[in-house]
Amino acid sequence: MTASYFGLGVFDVLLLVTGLAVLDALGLVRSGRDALRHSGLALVVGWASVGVFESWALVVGAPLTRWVVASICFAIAAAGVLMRRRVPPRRLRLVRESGPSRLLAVAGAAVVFVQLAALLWRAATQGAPLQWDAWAFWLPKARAIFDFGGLDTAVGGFTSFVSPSYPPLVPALDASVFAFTGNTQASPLAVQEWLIAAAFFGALWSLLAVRVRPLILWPCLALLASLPNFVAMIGSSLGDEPLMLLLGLGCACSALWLLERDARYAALAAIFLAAAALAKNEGMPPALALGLTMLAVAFVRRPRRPLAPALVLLAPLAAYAPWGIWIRIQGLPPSTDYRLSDLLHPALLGDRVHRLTYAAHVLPVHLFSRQQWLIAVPLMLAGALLAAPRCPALSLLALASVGTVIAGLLAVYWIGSRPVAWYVLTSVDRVLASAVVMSVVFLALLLGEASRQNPAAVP
Amino acid sequence: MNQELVLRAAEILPRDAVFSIVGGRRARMSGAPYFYAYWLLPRRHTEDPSASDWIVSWGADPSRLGVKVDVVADLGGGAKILRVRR
Repeated sequence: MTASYFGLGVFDVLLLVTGLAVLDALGLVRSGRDALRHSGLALVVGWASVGVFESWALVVGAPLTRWVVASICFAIAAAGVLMRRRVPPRRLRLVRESGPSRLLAVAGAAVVFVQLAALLWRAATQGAPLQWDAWAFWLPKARAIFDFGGLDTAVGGFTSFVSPSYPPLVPALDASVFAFTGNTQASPLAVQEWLIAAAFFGALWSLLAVRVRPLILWPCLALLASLPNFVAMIGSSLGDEPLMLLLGLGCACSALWLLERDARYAALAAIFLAAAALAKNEGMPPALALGLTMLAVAFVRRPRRPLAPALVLLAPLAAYAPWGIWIRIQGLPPSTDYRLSDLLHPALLGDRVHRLTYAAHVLPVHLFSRQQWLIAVPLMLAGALLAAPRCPALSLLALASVGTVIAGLLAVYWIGSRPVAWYVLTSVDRVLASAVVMSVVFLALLLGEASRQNPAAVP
Repeated sequence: MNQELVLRAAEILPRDAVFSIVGGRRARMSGAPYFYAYWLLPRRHTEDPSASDWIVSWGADPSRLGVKVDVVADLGGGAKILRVRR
């Protein structure tokens, strides 16, 4: 087991170095101090970008051996080193806190650290995931990649498990863990997922601290770390777990581009949203909503600079395209649970309207459930109202992206082929996770902007 | 889940085996086929008993499988590991 964790450590060092190289290329890390401060962000950037390239490598028939994964890391890092000369450095200034309000920030930070410590204990001691979807298809797909050397389409291979057309980023990253641990034991995955979750908090801190004062930021992070369903998701090995983290990071970077007008944030958003689109089919609609809203804002405000948001909009589509082509070549249906084309058939939609009314009744009950998500979403809605006079674009971005997740779920429940009550019951708690995590990320930014003494000139 | 059955199958089935899982209502309700397909990797799972070399049976009637089989291990309670006769 020690050897497994040593292998896991090597994999994470590779991801960290890859992420640092990307941040170096963007001018965000140009010193050891920067590297330390942005180490959480570097790990998740490395994780997301390696996941995207691994997905492409699988599509062209490559296996995910240690050497292939290491080569992908080195290729991304080398590209970063080549780019660094063209991009000037930018040191991100932290918003400071003074006076007694620092105590509240410290209390919030303490909650985050205690929660993360408890989650680490759980990951290290309870090990393998128990959720149905995890061992019905997420883990088997990862094992199939490892055991059969890639996307095997023969009997018992990658495409033989439930939801064969789900994109391969999550199984690819899990298969990489297997490659580096040298076996297919699922226990180290829980520790790996904890590490990514911890890096996610570190990334949110290093990103949002540029705009949000600690008095607001740390309590918001504490709220996130205390959400019962979020906590339950960490270490679950479900695709919804990386999806919520990637979309949360994509929201943070998109919003920072909007507020800071720095293309570096757009580049980071593009990486996270591309990875989100390849993590689960549900990642695409909010990724496109974020890109479209950014593009709309870029056209409205002066000077017009639509290139960066256009690339953010294209990134998830371009990342998904090879996989989309591959599943067409293999003759796999996009989803076995629903057909998107059914949304174009009014008669069918009319026949199934009872499904929509049922879902529309049940979804808010779960979304606003204090037992599951505390009061995260109501707080975000209040924050959007508060920030709207000073920063309407940020409120719009928050409402459009979170609203897209909800609307997408309602549409899927409406056109789904399975009994709607069963469908909702077995999925709603995890599929809402992305919407709630995005809400908390926006909450910090919305409250930060609403409370700023000298708000930036944002339309 | 009938852990004994899946652990015994992991001992008996060769790593390159093609196998199917058949069972009664209890096996299907427990989700056992999905878990077994995962646990027994890299052995390849198929839903078609006639395309498999091995059958992991939990409460199924061997006479209704559509293939001739030899019982390799009988764990009791309808849990059997069967070898398809070629």
